[in-house]
Amino acid sequence: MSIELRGVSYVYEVGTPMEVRSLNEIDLTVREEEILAIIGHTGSGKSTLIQLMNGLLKPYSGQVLFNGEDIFGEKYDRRALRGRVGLVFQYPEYQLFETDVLTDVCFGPKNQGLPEEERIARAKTALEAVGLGEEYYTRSPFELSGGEKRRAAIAGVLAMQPRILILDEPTAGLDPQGRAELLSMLRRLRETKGIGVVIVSHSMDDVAELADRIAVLSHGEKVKEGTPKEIFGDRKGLEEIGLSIPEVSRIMALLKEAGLPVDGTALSVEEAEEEIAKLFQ
Amino acid sequence: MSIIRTQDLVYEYVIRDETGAVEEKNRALRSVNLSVKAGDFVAVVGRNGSGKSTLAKHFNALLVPTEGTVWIEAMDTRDETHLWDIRAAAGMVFQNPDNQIVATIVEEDVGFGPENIGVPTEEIWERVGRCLSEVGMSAYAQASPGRLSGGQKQRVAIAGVLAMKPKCIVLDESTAMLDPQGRREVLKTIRELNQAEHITVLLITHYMEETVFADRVIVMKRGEIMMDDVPHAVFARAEELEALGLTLPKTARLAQALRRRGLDLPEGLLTGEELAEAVIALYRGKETKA
Repeated sequence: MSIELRGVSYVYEVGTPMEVRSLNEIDLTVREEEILAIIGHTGSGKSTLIQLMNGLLKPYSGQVLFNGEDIFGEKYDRRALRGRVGLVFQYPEYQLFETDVLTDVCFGPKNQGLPEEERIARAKTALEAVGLGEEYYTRSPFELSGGEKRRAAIAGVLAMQPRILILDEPTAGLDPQGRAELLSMLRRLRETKGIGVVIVSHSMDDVAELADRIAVLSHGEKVKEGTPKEIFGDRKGLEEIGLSIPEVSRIMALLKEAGLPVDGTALSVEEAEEEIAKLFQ
Repeated sequence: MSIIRTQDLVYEYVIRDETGAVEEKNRALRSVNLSVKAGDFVAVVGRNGSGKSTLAKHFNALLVPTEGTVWIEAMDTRDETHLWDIRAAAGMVFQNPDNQIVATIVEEDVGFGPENIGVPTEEIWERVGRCLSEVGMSAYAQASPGRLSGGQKQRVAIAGVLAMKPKCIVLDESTAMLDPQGRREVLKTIRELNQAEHITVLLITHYMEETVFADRVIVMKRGEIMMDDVPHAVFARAEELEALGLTLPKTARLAQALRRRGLDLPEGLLTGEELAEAVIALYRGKETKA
C-alpha cells in the first residue's frame, strides 16, 4: 500500500486577501514498511502536508493517490481511507477523554461501527503494540505518565488498524525515557506489523535514529529527499534553510572541514567513535 | 549570600474524596536541602515525577512546604505577609507559552505585572522598553502575541517577569514545547540575563544538553537530590544518570567513549565545538610527532 502525492499544491484562504500558498507542487511517496521523516522549519508546510495524506485537506491542485486511486475522485470512500491511514496529531494525549484506557482506545473502532467483541479485541492488540499491558486497561488515562498517555492515545489510532501511521511531533515534551520508549515502539510497529510510518519532527536526533528516508521542506517546497546520511552530510545546505544537523553529525562535519580524513557521515555516537578512533590507530 | 535556601523540605500532595477525607498522600519531596547563591545559574534535572517542578513551585510560594522551610532572601515562604515580595523576587516562566500571555499587544502584556503592583505609568513604559530590548523583542512591541512563534512568546513571558525586577528567574520546563530554534533563543536569552544582569537562574528541564552552560547541575529522583555538582562532574557519572532515566548529551557520550579507547582528551568538554577542537588538536599533535 502506498500514498502518492503528485504535484500537490495547497493554498489557505483562497480568493481572500489573506491567501497564502502553503505547499507548492510536491511529489512524494509513502510506502508500507518504511519510516519517512519530514523535516523543515516552523511554517514550512509540514503539518499541511500530512493532513493532505489522509484527505483531511483537499489539494488546491495536483493529486493524492492511495494505492493508485485518486482519493478525491468521485465516489471515493474517504471515510474508509482514514481507517487505513491513521493520523496522530501533536499532543494527542489532550484528546483522551474516557474513564478508562481500554474504553478510550475502543472509541475509534466503535465509530467504525464494529461489534463490541471486535472492538475490544482490536483495542487490546493496539495497547499491546504500544507496550501497555492488561494492568492498564482499567486505569484512568489521566493518571498515566506523560509517555504512557501519549502511547495510549496512539493506541486509539492503531485500533483502527491503519497500514500507514502518520505522527506530528511524536516525541515533543516527553522526557528522555518516554522518548526512547516511543521511538522503539515505532520501530517495532514497522518491523512486526509492516506498518509504514511518517513522522514530522523538529528533533534531528529522532530523525537520525529512526528514519529510512527524509524529505526536507522549505517555504512550501520539497527541497531535498534522501537517506539520513545524504541529508545530514550536507551541513551548510541545511543550515541555509534554517535547520540544524544532529550533534554527532556536526562534530564530524567540523573534523572534516578542518581537513581530517573522516568521511563525515556518522550519525550515531557509536559510528562516530569508530571513525575517530581510526584516526589514531 | 544565598538567595534561595531550603531546609528539610517535604511536600505531600493530598488527594481527598468527595467528603473531604484524605484518600491518598503522595510525597513529592523528601527532605530537600538546597542553597542557591545569588547570581548562579543552576539547572535542576530529573525525569517526570522526580519532584523537580514541585520544588520549583516552592521558590515563589505557589506551594508551601508540608514540613521544613523555604527562604527566599531570608523571607519564609509560609509567611503570607511576604507573599508579594517573594513573588517579586522570584519570577516564574512556565511550560506552555500560550498559557501565560494575557494581553492582546506584546508591550501591554509585559506591562501587566508592574501595573498590578502600582508602578507609576512612566516607569512602566521605561521598564517595558528595557525588558523587551533585553530579550531581543523590541521590534515586536506593538505585535499581537498570537502572531509570534513559541520561542518569541516565551521571550515575551520572560520580559514580563523581568519587568517585575526579580533577583531570580525560575524556568519550569519552559523550553519543552518549543522547536530547536525557539529553544536556542530562550536559552541564549537567559544566559545573557545571567551573565550581564547577574540574575539568578533556576532552569528546570529534562534535557541534559541544556545544562551544559550551568554553574551547577542538581539531579533529582523521587523527591530527593541525588547529585549536585558542576556539569562535567555530573556527566562523568553516566551509568548512574542512565539508571535515573536521564541520557547524557551526545557530545559527552562520545567524549567518554573516546577516552575509554585511550584518546587523551581533556575533561570538561561540553559542546560539539570543544570536542571537535580537542580531537583536531590531538590529531595535529600526532602528525607532528610522526
